[in-house]
Parts: sequence; structure tokens; C-alpha cells
Amino acid sequence: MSAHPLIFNERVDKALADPILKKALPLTQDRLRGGRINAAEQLGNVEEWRELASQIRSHTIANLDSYLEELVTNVRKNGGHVHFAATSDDAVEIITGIVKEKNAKSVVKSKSMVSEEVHINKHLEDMGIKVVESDLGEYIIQLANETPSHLIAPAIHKTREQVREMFSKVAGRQLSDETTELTAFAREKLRQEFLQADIGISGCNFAVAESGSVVLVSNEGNARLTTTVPKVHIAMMGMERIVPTWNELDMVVSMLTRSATGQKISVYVTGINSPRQSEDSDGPEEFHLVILDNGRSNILGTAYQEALNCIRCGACLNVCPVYRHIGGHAYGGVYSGPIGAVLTPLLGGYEEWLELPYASSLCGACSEACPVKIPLHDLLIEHRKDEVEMGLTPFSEKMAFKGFSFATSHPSVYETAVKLAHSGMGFLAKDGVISKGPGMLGGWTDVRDLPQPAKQSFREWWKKEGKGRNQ
Amino acid sequence: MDLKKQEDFLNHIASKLGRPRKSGVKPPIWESQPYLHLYEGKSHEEMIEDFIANLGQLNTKVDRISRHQFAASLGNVIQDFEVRSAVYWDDATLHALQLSDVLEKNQIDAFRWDPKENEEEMKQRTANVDLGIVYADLGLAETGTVVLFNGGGRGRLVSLLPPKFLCILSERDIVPRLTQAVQKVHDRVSEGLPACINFITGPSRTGDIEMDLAFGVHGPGKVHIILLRDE
Amino acid sequence: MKVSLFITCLADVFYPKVGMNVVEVLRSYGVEVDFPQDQTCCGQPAFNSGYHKEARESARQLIKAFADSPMVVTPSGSCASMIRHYYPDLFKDEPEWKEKAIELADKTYEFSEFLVHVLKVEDIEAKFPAHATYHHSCHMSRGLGLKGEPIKLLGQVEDLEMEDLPYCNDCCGFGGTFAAKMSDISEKMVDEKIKNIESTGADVLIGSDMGCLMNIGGRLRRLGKEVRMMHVAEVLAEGGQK
Repeated sequence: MSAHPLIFNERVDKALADPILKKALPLTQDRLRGGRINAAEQLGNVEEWRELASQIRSHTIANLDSYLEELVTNVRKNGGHVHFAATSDDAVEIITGIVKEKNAKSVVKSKSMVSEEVHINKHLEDMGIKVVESDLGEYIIQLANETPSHLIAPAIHKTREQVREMFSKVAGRQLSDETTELTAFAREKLRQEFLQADIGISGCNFAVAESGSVVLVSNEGNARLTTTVPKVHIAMMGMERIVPTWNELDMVVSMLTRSATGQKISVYVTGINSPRQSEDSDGPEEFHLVILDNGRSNILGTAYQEALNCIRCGACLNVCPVYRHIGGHAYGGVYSGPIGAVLTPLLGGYEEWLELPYASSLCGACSEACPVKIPLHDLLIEHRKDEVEMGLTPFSEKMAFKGFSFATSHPSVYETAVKLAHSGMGFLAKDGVISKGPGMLGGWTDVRDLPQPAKQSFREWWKKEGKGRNQ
Repeated sequence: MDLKKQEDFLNHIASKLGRPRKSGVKPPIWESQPYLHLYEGKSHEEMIEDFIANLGQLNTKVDRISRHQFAASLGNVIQDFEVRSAVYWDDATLHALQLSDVLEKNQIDAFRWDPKENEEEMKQRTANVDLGIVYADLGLAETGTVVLFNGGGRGRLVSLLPPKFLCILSERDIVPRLTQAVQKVHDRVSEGLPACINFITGPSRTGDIEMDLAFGVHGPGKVHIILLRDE
Repeated sequence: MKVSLFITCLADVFYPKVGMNVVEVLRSYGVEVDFPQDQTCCGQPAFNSGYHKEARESARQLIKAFADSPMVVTPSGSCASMIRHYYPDLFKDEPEWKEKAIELADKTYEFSEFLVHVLKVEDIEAKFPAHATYHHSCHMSRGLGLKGEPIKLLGQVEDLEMEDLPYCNDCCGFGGTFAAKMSDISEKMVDEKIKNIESTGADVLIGSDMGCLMNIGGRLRRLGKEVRMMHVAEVLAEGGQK
């Protein structure tokens, strides 16, 4: 996680003012939400699926050391190499090391959020290596020199006109903005890259411990090309992205595709079990699995451990009303939406990511949508609790809640406060309405009116009239 | 091999989990089987129909034929997909169907994936033909998926590089869903898995440009299935 | 049948009529209602902002206030959710208080829930001619799983024409302090909610959470729009005066 040029509020303001996002975000959300809901209805018993998927993930994380050990033993047994990267720097060192050793000049990549975490593209480009993103969405943002704004559909913030302009520049001729023409261009251009690249770098949707396999879930086919054509394949894996056996793969893949886009299964599910074997004449000769920690282990044994169950489906992004309006870049980190708000402070620290846990109305839509039942909105409350306990909240707020605590635990004080509310706020009110308030009230009144507290509170009414009239 | 790094890494995980290192953990038997109702009580015939219907929704035609109809069926594919060249797997069933003869009769410039041939040349040839032809080991009824166990004469690139893809499989190899397929893979782990297993469902697609669906981005954009009846 | 009313801080201070209506409706079904004066606030504002120590103090007071109540009814989905969902866990390190919290959670009901599941009201005798739509608050629908209950009650009110609210699962942007702290984002959320309300053509917005109604109503007013906010209890009470 690196420092963002804009601070949180600036990022939010920028996003809220962006007319492209204003159209693109609801469109994307509605499409993908609808997909997930349809898929769930088709299943009929989605709550049972969620429960099992949640159990599988929790069990795996609770035994992560054992399953990782099994995984790497099998990868090696099958002729692959394993590298452990405790930090982002370690991952970069490992990968640039392989690139140097192979004398590689060009790298083709398929989608990997972990690779974004360590900014591997920049490091490779600094070495003079050509890096090409092959996932269409990632290719688009690579040309735009931007980061992904959605977990599944990285380029939703780009219009087709923008894509047309970027592709036309690369093509050296003017393309139309028809999806078919743009896609055909991308296919042709990227096909050349695949056939020439020295190294293919992929992510890892799920590693399978029992067979030392890396499983990729995709729709375009670029993940297959990336991991078949170049002579060397490097798979970057977040250490929690693992299942014990192929049997568990069923549940996590089924939930991933249904929750992400509503598909029962993606077009391609690819099991990569070893480098090419002696009878093969395609597939990489060398396979490297890079397993990344980068702060994940700090989540183990804490109240946040369930966050590691995440299968990166993006369902939480698609139902989040906050994401709907601010999009992915406003979050500032690699991961956005509710999972981003939970994970980013854990991986990057509160100092840089103080506001993220507060960018939520705690509506709970995310927790409800999560296929592995991560209590996302409760984890946001947990973050807020931690920020309070660490003394990171404003002094005035601390005092306000101390006052709140005192008043609400001393009924006589509370009653007095209620009695004085009407007159106390009288100076702010006009015709029973407050339209401009001081301090924290200002945040409210900037956007909406506040009713003046009633002349007679309920408890006063009760004392005078209400109490006597039970039948 | 940096064993110390590995030990530090794994020990760190164990210590964060607040307990000693664990090894050799096996998953429990998962009691819940939420997928059962999706296919329980369905006849094999119904599953075949599901398989075909699911692919229909993905722009993919399935020809259900007897073996003796193979030549005619392939002829239709060649016409529909405007095929002039092809690459095919070195596979017993494809040979039994006399695939190479049928291709020759249709004047298709075809070659068999052969690991003994020059690799670079084969790759280039495969990239330049119209159609890749394979034989699948399994079909998944619930999704219209075909499962390919690649390896040796069953080149991975055959189902990937050409813009059109023809997959032949037998009716009897259609199973209800992914659950059965992964079980079969699990059962084969001890004997060793091929380098690559593909689960392929219809044509390559993307929604990355304004959520507008497009086919054939990197993988084949046109897919056809020939389903051989049990005989 | 005896119940104690938990009025909630918002209703106590800003919307006392809602409380009066709740009492009226409950009494019309022969329920004896009392009001333990020592009640204050459920503590949710502190809890949601991360001030859990402070929230515990509020919670203790509430638990004490209702210690002798056989049942507690509250006209707030979010407060009921706070008590049922979060109180036990708030005291996870204090077994004695945790038990008391569970006791309170087990006997606390949201207003519509109480009418439908405890009083088992089948026939509301109320008439309220209006073109209305209903706002499901997040805490009530997700936190408590109560969606059909208010709809069922309103469906029995004569001459009340109910429209489905599009995107009803999307938060209105209240979120307690969120509305003030992240007012820019909250504004966009409430504006989208209002757009959806307007698309129904309804003149009345009915809800079960005054926080949401205060948020939506306050914004409507600021925008100069005319939609009346009503709590379910208000509709039943006003409509009951046939």
C-alpha cells in the first residue's frame, strides 16, 4: 500500500463529482447484483451454500500452516519452485530475481490483485522489462496508467469512447467504438504479446493443497494463454487463497462465480498441476509459486480473522450503497468496497487508512451478500472500536461521547437534557426547523433540515397524561 | 531451496494462530451437501437435456448423434464455422471416429498435435488454423461444461489458440455437476495429474467495456459440441 | 398482557407523537402499557462510532430500567436490533451482565413484530386513505429479519394504497453519525432514495425507524418537496379513529 496523492475526503469529492462514475457505477452494480440474485434464486437454498463455504474457508484459515506446507510439498514434488514472500519487498525481489535469471525481456500478465499490492509492474518496468496486462479490463487501465476500480471489472470507470481513443493510439489507426471491433483489436494485439512473452505472471484464485495445483477462474482465456505459452510461469498467491482438496474447490468456485457475476461457472476453470511433463510439448517448462504474506498474518488470531475467508468475488462492492456513489478509486487502496474498507487498514495500518472504516452507514448489505459470511459491517465497527481505543479519534468526539455516556447512565441528567432540548436548540430553529447547526450538527444540516425538538417530550406527556389511561 | 524462509513463514502463522505448528491436517467430512437437490432424481436423459440447454444459452450448439453420423455432423460444423484448417488431439476416440479421414475428405488442411514435432512450428500452425478439435473426458450437465485432461498428444493449445473450438464427448460421460468432476480429479491425485486440466463452458467472453458482452476475446469465440450417443 | 414501552431517544425528543400512537394502538388491543422512567438511550450512537465502553454504560442503564418488565416494545427497528443483536456481545467479558443482556434481548420486540407475532393481529380496524410507500430500514430488515410484518399490517388498512419502493434494499444514508460525518456521501444516498420514492408517486412515506424518516424527511424538506413521513404506529392510530 503506498501513499496516495489525494487524501480521503479529496478522493471522495473527486469521485462524487465525476459524471462518468455517476453513470457507470449504478449500471455495473445493477447488472452484477441482478446476476448474483438470480443465481441465488436458482440455487434455492443459498443459505446452506453460504454456510458450507464459510465453514470450508474458516477451517482452512485455522489450519493454514498445515495446508500451505502440504501445498508446497506437492508443488515441489511435481517439479515446481516455491518462494515465500513475507513482505511486499520480498515478493518483488523474488520475481525480479527470476526475471533477471531468465534474461527475460517481456512479461505477460493475467489478472492478479496481489501483483497490484506489490506494484510488480512498476518494478519490472523500472528494470526495462516490457509488461503487458492481458485481461481486457486490466489492459485498458494499464494503457490509461490507472489502477483497477472494481475487483472483478477493473475498468468500469472508463467509457467506450475513452477505450476507443487509447486502442486507436496503440493501433495507429482510428477504431470505432463498437465493442466487437475494440475486442477484436485487443485479441489481435494481445495475442502477439502472448506468443512473444518470456514469462507469464498470473494470480491464483485457489491453490489446491493435496495436488500442488493453482486454479484460475476466468472468462476471457487470457489466464490460460498466460500460463501456457511462455516458457516460465510465475503464479502470485495471497497466502490465504487455498483449499485443502479438489472437493472443497467445488464450493468455493461455485460461490465465486455466482456471487461475482451470477454465472453458474466461469467460461474457464483451469487447474495447473505442474510444469509441462515429459510427454508434453506445450505449457511452461518452469513454474514458480510465490506465496505472499504482506500483512495477512497480522490478521490471524484477531477479531478480524474471518476477513481472510474472502474469495474475492466482489459481491460486497456490488451491493454497497457507498461504493455505488464513490467507486473504487476513492478507497485509495488496492481493494475497495466493504472488503477494502476492512482489509486495507489491517494490511496498511490506521495511520494512512483512518477514515475507511467510517465510510459506511453500516447497512449490512455487504455481510448479507458475502458468500462466505464474513460479517463485514461488524468488522467495520470493530475497526472503529480499535481506533477509539488507540486514541485516534478527535478529542471533541471523545468528549461528546463521554458526555453521552454520562447522561445516558444517569437518568436524572438525561431527563433534564430532554426537557431542555426544545428551548436549548430554540435559537437555531425557525418555524420548528433547524437548517444550520454548529459542530457535528453542521454535517447534518449541510444536507438536510432537522426538526426542532418537540415542545413536550414523550416522557413529559406520559407523566401528565399518558400514564393514567390503561384500560 | 530456502527452507529457513519457509519454516519462519509457517511458524509465524502458527504463532499468530496462538498454537503450535500443525502438519498433515485433513479436512473433515462436510456433512452439508447443498447441491444434492439440483440433480437428485434426475434421469441421465434429463441431464443430457440440461447439458444441451445450458450450452444453448451460451450460443453453443450441441449435435447429439450416433457414431455413424459423425462425418455428416463434422461436415456441418465445417460449413457453419467456415473451416479450412484444423488441429486435433492425438486421441483414441478421435481416431476411432476416423477424424483425419473425414477432415481430408472435406479438404481441410489439418494436422495432429504431435509432441515429437517441432514445438515452435506446431504452436505457430495451431495459432493459424481455424478450428481446434478435442475429445473431452467429462461433461457437466448443470453448466454445459466439458472437462479436458490435457497432456502429451492432447495439447492445451488446441482448445485455446484457434478462434473456433469443437469438442467431442460421449453421453455416458456426462455427470450432474462440478461436484462429481472434482471428485474424479481428487481420486486421480495419487496417480498423478496431468500438467493442466481445463473446465471449459462455452465461448470466451468479456464485459469489460461498459459491461457490454463480447465473445472471443482471447479464447475461441465459437464453440460447438458433438455428443456421441451411447451405443 | 403487560408491556413496557422503550420510547428511544429520537422519538422521545423529536417525535413524541409516535410514542403516543404506539401506546394508543397497544391499548386498543387490551395491552397494559407502562413506561419505566429510568430508560435513556440504547447506546447505539456510541456503539456504532466505536465507543463501546461508553455504549456499555448506556446499555447497563437500559437493562436496569427494564429489569422488571415482562416484555418490551419499541417503535424502532434499529434500537430493537441493537438490543437483540449487539447487547449480549457487548458484555462478552462480563458473564453476569451478559446474562442480563440476553434476558432483555429475549423479551424485546419491535412494534410491528409485536403486533403480528405476539398479539397475532389479523384484522386492523383502521382506515387511512393515502397513496403511500414503505421504507424498510436496514437494521430492521437485515438485523432483525423483519420485512413482511409492517407490510402485512399496512395491507389491512382500508383505503391505503401501497406502492413497492424500488431499490428498497438500498440504505437511505442515515447510518447515525454517518449522515453527519460523511455528509457528502450520505447526501447522494438520500437523494437516490428520494428519487425512488418519487417514482412511486406516493404522498406518504411510512417507516419503522424515525432515524431514517428524519433523514429522508429532512432532506425532502430541504429540497422543498412534499411527502409526509409517518411511522407505522401513526398510520394505525390515525386510521383507527374512524
